[in-house]
Amino acid sequence: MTSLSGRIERRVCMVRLRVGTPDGWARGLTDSSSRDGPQPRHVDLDAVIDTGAMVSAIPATVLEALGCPAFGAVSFQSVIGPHDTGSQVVGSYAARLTLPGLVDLKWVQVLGVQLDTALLGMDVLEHLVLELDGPGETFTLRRPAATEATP
Amino acid sequence: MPQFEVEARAFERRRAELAEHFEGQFAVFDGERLVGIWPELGEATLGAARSLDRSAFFLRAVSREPEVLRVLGRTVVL
Repeated sequence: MTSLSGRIERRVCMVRLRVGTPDGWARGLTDSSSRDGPQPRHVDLDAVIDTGAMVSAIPATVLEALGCPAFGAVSFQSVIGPHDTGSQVVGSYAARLTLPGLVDLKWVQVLGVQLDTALLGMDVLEHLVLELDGPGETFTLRRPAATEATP
Repeated sequence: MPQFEVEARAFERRRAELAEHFEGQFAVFDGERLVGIWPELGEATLGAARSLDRSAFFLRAVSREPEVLRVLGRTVVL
């Protein structure tokens, strides 16, 4: 598969994203938090295509459950306005992000957020061609022509 | 979620010095100590995990200025 098409639902482009532990990372499976039984090495979850996000954001619960390496907190600064001085912190993690057949990024630094769905940001989208048909309410993601032959 | 406040302060103190030689690479701190610098995220993570024997640690890309990222209509400073 070299392209993925979908319908725009309620002004949202949604894809299934595979989130896994980074390539070669097995520590999460042996941490004390994972002693209750076998843990999945990856999970598939809904992700919103978000060209406004410079990096992808993944539910923190997913990253923690997978045992992805954690790099601690980073601070959010609002861009809403100078009077919005509230700040938040989120976790920074490494993960493997895959859109099967399109792109497989073995080490990506992502944000762990308190959301039910993931945000597929420009760190992944910059590897793909995104075609958006607003009136037709469809979108297509595909590999660029130069990488079509790459398995 | 670990905050790594000591490490964050140590990294900021040494940011300019590290950027002079290692801009674009990945630095890992443990307390005030610089554990190492690696050219790639994967190497840095695996190397630090081996050195520190844990899966959570302070890792940042080395840059002259804090990197400002926008997500969810907000900016994130790494």
